Formats: sequence, C-alpha cells, structure tokens
Amino acid sequence: MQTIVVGLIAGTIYALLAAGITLVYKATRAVNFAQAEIGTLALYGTWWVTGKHGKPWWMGALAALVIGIAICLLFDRLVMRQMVTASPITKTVATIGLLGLLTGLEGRWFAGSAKIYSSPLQHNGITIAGVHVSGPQILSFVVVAVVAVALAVFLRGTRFGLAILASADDPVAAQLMGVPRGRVSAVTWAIAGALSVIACLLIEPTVGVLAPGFASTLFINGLTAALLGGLTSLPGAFAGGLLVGLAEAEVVAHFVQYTQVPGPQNLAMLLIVLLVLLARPQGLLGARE
Amino acid sequence: MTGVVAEPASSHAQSHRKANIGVLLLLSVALPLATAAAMPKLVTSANWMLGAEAIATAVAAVSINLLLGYAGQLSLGHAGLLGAGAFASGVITSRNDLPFWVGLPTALVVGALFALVIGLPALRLRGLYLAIVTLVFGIAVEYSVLPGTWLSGAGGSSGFPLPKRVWGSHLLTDSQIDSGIYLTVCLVLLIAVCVVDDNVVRTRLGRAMRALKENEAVAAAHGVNVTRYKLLAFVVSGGMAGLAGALDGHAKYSVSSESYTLLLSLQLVTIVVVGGIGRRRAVVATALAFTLLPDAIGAVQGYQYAIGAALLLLTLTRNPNGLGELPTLIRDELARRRAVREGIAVPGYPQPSTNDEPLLPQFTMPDVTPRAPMHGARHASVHGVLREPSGRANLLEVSDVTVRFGGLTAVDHASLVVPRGKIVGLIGPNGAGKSTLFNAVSGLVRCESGVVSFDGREVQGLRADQRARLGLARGFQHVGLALDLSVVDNLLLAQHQLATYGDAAALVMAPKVAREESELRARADAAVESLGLGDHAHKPLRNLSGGQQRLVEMAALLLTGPELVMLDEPSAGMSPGAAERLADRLRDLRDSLGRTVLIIEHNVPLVFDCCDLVYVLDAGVVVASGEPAEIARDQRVIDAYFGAHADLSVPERAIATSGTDKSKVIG
Amino acid sequence: MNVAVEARGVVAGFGSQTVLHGVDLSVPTGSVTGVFGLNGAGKSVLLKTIAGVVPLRGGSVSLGDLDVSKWTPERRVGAGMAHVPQGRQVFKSLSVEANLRVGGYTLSRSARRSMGDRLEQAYTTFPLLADRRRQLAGTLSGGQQAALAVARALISNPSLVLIDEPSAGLAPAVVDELLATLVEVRRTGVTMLLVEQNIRFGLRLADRAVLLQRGRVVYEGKSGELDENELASRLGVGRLLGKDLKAGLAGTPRRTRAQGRSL
Repeated sequence: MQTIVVGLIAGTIYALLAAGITLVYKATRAVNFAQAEIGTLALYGTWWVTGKHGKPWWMGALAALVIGIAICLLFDRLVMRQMVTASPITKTVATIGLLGLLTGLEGRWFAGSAKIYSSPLQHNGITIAGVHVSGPQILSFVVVAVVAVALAVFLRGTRFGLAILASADDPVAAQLMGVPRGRVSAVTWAIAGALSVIACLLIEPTVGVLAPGFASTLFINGLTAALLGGLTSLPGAFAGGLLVGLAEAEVVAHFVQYTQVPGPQNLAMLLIVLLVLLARPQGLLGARE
Repeated sequence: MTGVVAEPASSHAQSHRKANIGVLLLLSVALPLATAAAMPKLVTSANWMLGAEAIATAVAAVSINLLLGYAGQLSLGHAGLLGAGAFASGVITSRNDLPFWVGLPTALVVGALFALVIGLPALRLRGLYLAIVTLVFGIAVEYSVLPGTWLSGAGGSSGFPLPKRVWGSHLLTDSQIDSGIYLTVCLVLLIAVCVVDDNVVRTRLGRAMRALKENEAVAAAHGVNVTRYKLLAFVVSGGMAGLAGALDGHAKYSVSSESYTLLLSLQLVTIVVVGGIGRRRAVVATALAFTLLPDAIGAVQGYQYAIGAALLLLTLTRNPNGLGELPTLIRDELARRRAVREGIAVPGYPQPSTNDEPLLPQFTMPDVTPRAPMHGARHASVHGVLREPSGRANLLEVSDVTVRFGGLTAVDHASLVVPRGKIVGLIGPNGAGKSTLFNAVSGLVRCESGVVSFDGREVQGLRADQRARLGLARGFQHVGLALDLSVVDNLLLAQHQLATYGDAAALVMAPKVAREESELRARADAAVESLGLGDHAHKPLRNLSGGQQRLVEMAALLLTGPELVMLDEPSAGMSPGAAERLADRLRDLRDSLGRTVLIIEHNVPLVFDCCDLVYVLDAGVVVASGEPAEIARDQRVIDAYFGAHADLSVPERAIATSGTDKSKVIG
Repeated sequence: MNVAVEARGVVAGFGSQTVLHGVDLSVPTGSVTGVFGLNGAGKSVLLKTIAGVVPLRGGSVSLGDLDVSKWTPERRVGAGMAHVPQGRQVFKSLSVEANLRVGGYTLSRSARRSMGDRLEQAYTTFPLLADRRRQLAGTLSGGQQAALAVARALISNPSLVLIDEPSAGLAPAVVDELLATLVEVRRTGVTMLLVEQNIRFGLRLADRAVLLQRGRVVYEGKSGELDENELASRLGVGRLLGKDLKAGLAGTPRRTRAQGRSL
C-alpha cells in the first residue's frame, strides 16, 4: 500500500509534466525537452527568495511562477515564432537549445552546492490503515486535482481555451475563424511554463535538494506519461503520469534489491515507451486515426 | 533544413578513390614526423588530452551528422553509443592486457551493434517517435547498462580504466612524445572517418539516405529499400560513435558511466546544427572549436554550454543552414555588391523569375536506356537491364482494385488494362482517386482487395521498391525526385537499382564501386547533356523551374530502363508551348524507345492528342474507357467533370446563344 | 453599387512561381459570385490571397471601404470576412457546438452574450446539426461536416463568406444536399464568393461568374448568360465534347476585360 501511495505521489509530478508536454505538442507538434528544466531554473528563484532572504514560501512560489512563465514567453516570442514553418524535428531541436541554455546557466550560477529550503507544509500528515501520507503529499494530490480541473474548465469552457484547442486541431482553419496565432502560441507556452513550475514546486519539498540538470530523469518519466496519452490527450497525460509513477514505484520496490542491473526503473520506462510507440502510438485513450 | 552537401561533385569516383588512399598514406607518414619533431615544443602535455578529446568530439559529430544530415534521423542517445564504445574498449584492453589499437575496432563494432538495436524500431517508427526511442535508449544505457556490476565490478561510476597499451607491457605515457603519437593516431582516424563519410556521400548509400530523408515514397519509387538504408545509417553512425567514445576514453585513461549523459547527446546535436546539418567540414570545425575555444578563452569558461545553446537557437532562427553556409553567404554578398558597383543588378532585389517559359526551345528525350549490364550484374533478371520482354499483350492489368482510407473509398473496384507499347491516359475530376490508383499500382498504398499484375506477375504483395525493380517506374504529381539533391545526384539516385556493389564495399570505395560509380555518372552526365541542362547539373533540383524538374524526372524514370513509365500530371508547371512538345516526347517514348506509358493528366486536350486509350475515373469508379474519340462523346465523361447530379436550371436561352457570343470573351 | 470585397491587379504566387498575373475581381454586396477555372488556373490562390493567407505581390484587396491588403487573415475575419475552407477543415477533435463557438471567436463581448440565440438559430437552419451538438466533428459524415463548416462561417453574421471548392470530395447525392443548403443561405442575402470546379454546382448557386485561365480573368459577367457548355469550352474542358481537339494545346490566354465587366 505504501508503495502505491509513493507511486501516486511521484505520478502527480509526472502528470503535470506530461500535461505541459502534451499541450506544447498539440500546439507545435514538437516535444518540449526543456519542460522539466524550466521549473528547475525557476526554483532557484524560490530558493533565492525563501532560502536566502527568508521570505515565506508562497512568495518564493510566486517568484518561480513568474520566472517560469517569463522564460516560456521569451522562448515563444524569440524562437518558436521565428520558426512557424519549420518541421517538428527542427522545433524539437530548438527546445533542446532551450534545455541546454537553462542547464548551462544553472551549472554556471548554482553549481557546487545543492540548495535546500523548507517545505511549504509543516503538517505531519495522517495515517490511514497503516499507510502514512505526509502533508506535502496531500498537497500534491490537491494541487494536481485543482490544476487538472482548472485546465479542463479553461480549455473547454472559455472562448480563448476553445480557440487554443481549435488551433491545435487545425491551425490554418483556426486562423480563418479569426483566432490570433501569436496569442494562442504565447498563452500555450505560458501554461506549459506554469505547469513545469508547479511540478517542480511539488517535487522539491519531498526531495529537498536542488541541483543542476536533476530534472532529466523527471523529464523522461513525464515524456513516457505523455506518450501514454498519445502526446495529444490531456486526460491521457494525467492518467499516464499516475501510471508511470505507480510502475516506477513497483519496480523500485520489487526489483532493485533482487537484480544485478542498476536503475531497473529506467529500463522499465524504455520498455513502456517501446510498447506504447509500437503497439498504441495513439495513446491509451486515443482512437487510431 | 536542407541536406545539401557542398562538395564538388564533378571529380569522378575513381580518381577520388586514389586521392583517398594517397591522403591517408601521406598523413600516416607525415603527421607523426611533423608532430614528433615540432609540436612538443609548442604545447604542454596537458593540452594533448584536450586535443584528443576535441578530435573524439569531432568524430562523434561526424557520426551524428551522417545520421541527421543524410538520413534525416535525429539521435538523442549518442552518448550511450560513445559510452558503449569506451567501455567495450576498456573491457577488452584492461582485462586482457591487449593494446589499445585492438580496443578501437572493438569499440567500433560494439557501437555499430548498439546502434543497430536502437535503429530496429525504425522498422515501425519514424521522425520524432524514433528520436524519442533513441533518447530513452541513451538514458537506459547511461543508468542501467554501463553501471552494471558485470562491467565494472565496483560500479561503473567509480571509473573504468582504459590503458594506452601499445605492445606487451609498453604503455603510452604522459610524456610529450607519447601524447603526440596518440594525438596523431586520433587525427589519422578522424580523417579516415571523414573519408568514409565522404564515400557514403559519393555512392548510392548517401544518395539513398538523402532521398529517404526528404521523401520516403520518392526514395522507394526509385528502388531504395527505405528501412535497410535507415538501419545502415544507424549502424555506420554507431560505429563512428563507438570509435569516438574509445578515442576519448583512452585519452583520459579512465571513464565512468556518469560521463555519458543526455546532455552530452544534446551537446553533440547542438554542434552539428550550429556547424550546419549535412556539412561535414563545418561540423568538424565546430566540434573542434566547441572543445578547444572555451579552454583558450578564459572569459567564457563555465558559460560554454549556455553559449553553445544560445548559438543553436540563433542558428535555428537566423540561419538554419548553419555556420558552414557563411562562406557561401559572404561570397554571394560580395558578388552582389560587386555587381551593384558595376551597375549590373538592382541592389537587394532578387531577379524576378519568369516561369512562363521554363523550357529550352527544344529538348530531346535522352535515349539512356541501358544497353549493357553493369559489371558483374548479379540479379540481372530483376534489373530492368536484361529484362526479357515476355510478349504479353497487356503489360499492366488492374482488376477490381479497392482502396479505402478509414471510411472513405478512394478507389472502388477499379479495373484497367495497359497494353504493351501504348500510351494510356487516366483522366477525371479532382479527388476522383487517380493518384491513389497510381499509388496502389506502384505499391505506396495497400489494396484492400483486387489484383495488380505486372507483366503477368501479381505484384500487390510487393513493396514499392521491389515493384520498381521489376520495371515499373512512376513519377509523382509534385515531381517524384529529391528536390534537395542536385540534378546529377537525382539521375544517379534513379540508377540506384542498377548498381551491383555492396554497401560495405561502398564505405571503403572499393575499386568495383569506383568503377561502377563512374559508369553511372557518365550515364547521368549524358542524360543531363541531352536534356540541355548542363549549366544546372550541380544545382539543387529545387532551384530549377517546374518544367525543368519535369524533364529531369522523366529522364530519371527512363534511366532505369523501365517497361512501364507512369507519369502523374506531367504537364503541370509547364508552359503551354512546353506542354505541346510534351505530347511529342510521349510519342517518342512509345515509338522510338518502345516504352509503355500510363499518364494522369488534367490537360485533356493533351491526353486526347497522344493517348491510344483513355480511362475516366470519377469518385473512385472507372466510369468510361475507350479511344479518345469515343471518350470525347461520352456523356458520362462530361458528367464526371461537371457534376452529374446537380439539378440543372440554366435558362434555355443561354443554350441557344452558346458558343457564338464572342462579345463576352474579350479580345 | 455596394461592393463587399474588391481585388485590384492582384499578383500572387509561391516561390519562384507566379500564379495570378494581375487579377481584378469585385463582389457586389448581396451577390453570389462564382470563380471558375481548371486546375492550376489560380482559383484557390485568388481566394487565399483575398483571405490574406497567401501574401500579395502586387495590387490590393479591399473589404468594403477598408484597404485590407496588409492585414493578417485574423484581422480580416474580424472585419466581417468568414470562411468555408477547402476540404471543410472542421475541428475534428471538438464537438459540433464547440466548432460553432470557435466560429464566433471574433464576435464582440456583447455579441457573445447572445451566443445561445445564435447557436439556436444555426440549429434551426441546420437541423441535422441540432441532433449532434455534442458529437465530435471528426465523426460526422462528409456532408454533415460541410453543413457544419457553412454554419460555423455564418455564426458571426459575416458581411462576406469565402467558400473554397465546397463540392470537392463529396458524393454526388451529398453535393445536392449541400447545394440545397447553400441556396437556402443565399436566400437570406449573405454575400458569397465561391470557387468551384464543378461547373453545374457553381452555376446553380452563383448569380455572377468569373472565369479564370492561367492566372488571368478571361470573363466576368452574369452567370445566367452562360451555359455550362460554353463555360466549359471557354475553360478548355469543352474540348471534351469533341470540338477542336488540336487547338486546345496552344491556347494562349486572350487579353481581357471590356464589355463583360459592364454587365
């Protein structure tokens, strides 16, 4: 049971990353390699505000959100919008450039010492039927649920949200309905940035350590989760995130001590990716085109 | 991003091979002497290691360049291949006390094998999905394979030894002489890798890869087995990457699995994109610069990754062809300024191109049908070259073929017959399913039911490249050639199936390869000459007018000596005058060259002018067939074009005045 | 005469290719103007140039009194230009109702408050959509998608609707249904500019016809004065009828515009 809880907690983070990857993929047909790194760099803002200057946690979180969204808006304006007609592979390479830039800056500015800061909740958590759930873990669940509902309401229920979905479906037709391309692109990236920051805000208190480039395995798991959703389904991405979290926790719990192979969870991800891509490229929930 | 390789393609393969050998021999003698004599005085031994590292990076970059620049496949897991190479060489040299020059080929083989495994999903996947697979493989190698206890005993992260053993117990040390020798070995190997890469570019390997990068359907139509060449690109690239890993590892004496991260893979991709995808020399120069410059310029230290990434973003947004294009751009700009100074051209304005009359006044269709088999042709029977006419009256028979896309029936129980030595036209309104029927015949879409038989043989189960080899050549609506390749390269690509040399022989440019290549090239050159396109021979096809592209396409189709030539809207993009001459050319195909022709054409007068038999397709159904004169009278044809079911309510008076009232057609 | 949209001396093309060589076209308010021509004549490019998707290389486009030559496609839509794109291009992953809502994207905040009424009005005009408002557009049949595309364009009460090859890819029976629908729409007085290869369909709908040949206008006038055979013959398809087989090959476009325009 404890394994399941641990898996679901990790899964919430993968779900948020997968949602961001999915959103960007729908809009650009490119995979955003920097999805996890945006939040990581933004978290240095949190550390700077809370750890260095002793301000309350929520101010740090706000700083991280501002930084994450700003990075994405700049990237959209200065890079993605210059290459609207480029192939998805080329756009993907551009996100690799963003990843390199963020990692490079982190490495230069923050290398050497892992940054530690306090958790948003000091609550000791609760124990139900022998399963312990800590305060931050409860927070993770609540946040992910709120984000999922908010995203659904925004995309399905508002005029601009619908325009984003329409644009993802058929950008030319959306333009012919009067949907402004630039604004759709900017808002999509801003949401992706916010999702990245929220995911990283949730993982930091549990891991407690901040080091450059630590997000690459997070990204792989988030990407696996997004692939489970076929890269295009937001509900699929959330479900995929939880599944990946569970799978990882189970593998770690049952295989690590019995096997000679290090990092069996990475092999598990490889297996999932291969299975999904070869057998169900449209994702778990998608219909074959 | 274009994959144009800026190489002088005029030198023949044979002389090129001699140059290859000459350069290698010269270097292997001269470099050690030069370095041993002069260089130790110039640099310290600490710099040797960095130099070797830079060269290893260059080899790795060439490896990525081959995969991305030619085959168009993005690899995000190359660090895993480098690691596999380094560990393979380490295992074999340190455990068995073998010299490092035994370790290097081992690394090459292991790298190639790993790449083969990574590439296998390419049988099903392409593009971004395949890139994701390479990424996850790289991660799995980094975290699970390399740190494995069987490899390193105490765990790979603590470091794995790679001794530079030369012979017996003699090891290369840190002394200047020894370091110089190792650096020289690295340099020679870098040049060897570049030569192999060059051989790929100059043979059918490179042409097949570059064609499939641009358009897999086009490549297959020219007889390229797409998955085979994708895998080959992975394997060759993997071998180079394994070698690079071992070179780097031996330079450093020991490696750990932690060196082979995702970021290393991404850094290598960055180098290739910044240098210019498909531009080998620029990529090598960029790799050397990325490794050496940060050390030389103290101010950028620590920022080198960020600077590299920023350069990548700048390249993508400002100049996607990379730094390698800069000399060309500068040269063009200087030429433009000179022209402005001399009052030849208007500054800043591209010369308006008129494509109204794209064709030269007269052109002759080249008779480039192969008359003799290539040297040592093995499978002569499938090579168009020695094909014995079976004497069947009907070359192509399509019986009851149905093609569905989801719920849409694109071709609905269509049947047609193409008699040998005739020109057959296929007409019908937009969306009637003409091109889909072509695809079904040439093997690009699967028939749900029905039989396609070519020269008496059922071919519906064969792949497109297999059908092409049987003598079924097809053109495409939007020109079935690789637009990024030059005119000559396209004509060489067209002869893909005529070359009999093996792919391994091509890598080292064996004498047979060089001989065959120069024959193919001679035929391509002859075709270019007879088309009157000599001035454009080495321009990318993209830069030619639509009509010229059509000409090259037709020549390309004929170079393989096909029985059946299928053309999809050959007159599209041609001027009226050129379209008129096209009819004569089609008749030449039939009468002088004895080919059978099947065309899709919207220019109905052209069809009626030159076709022996016409089929009319509407909504996937063959609604009429017969000689042009019969078809012209057939009400169903008129219905097909005008929409039979629309309720007509044109006033009667209009009919009374039809065709005579010239007052409305002005002037 | 009020003009809904006017193109003057339009030059446009792709890459090194020039498709339109100085096309003049005006669509009077309340009229349905059909542009006819063979493949490659430049019909769709003309429509896309008016929409702003293909950039102008020369000439100008004005919408009512506004010169919109330099406007983005979105801005032109905001000024009252609506589209039924080629191949219908409904948003397949969205429901019918969501498609209609996106069609009203450019409506002002106050106009959006009446979105419910607008939707109901659309459902009244297109009853087959009313039964399927929650259905994903991708699961509709070709004819239903065509109806949705038309309804989506009309939801914002546009001053002009551009329709690109509505009949292409539809079964004949569905084409008839669509024709009936569009004739209904015409009755409400909506100005339409239609590009069509199916001449019978186009003539049934359009009251003005423009003939395009190799990027030039060769005829402009009332469509009632042409019958399909003449139209076809002027476009070159007519030689299907057995007339003048050879002459078609060297047909040079005749220099144009005179009386036809004044009609």
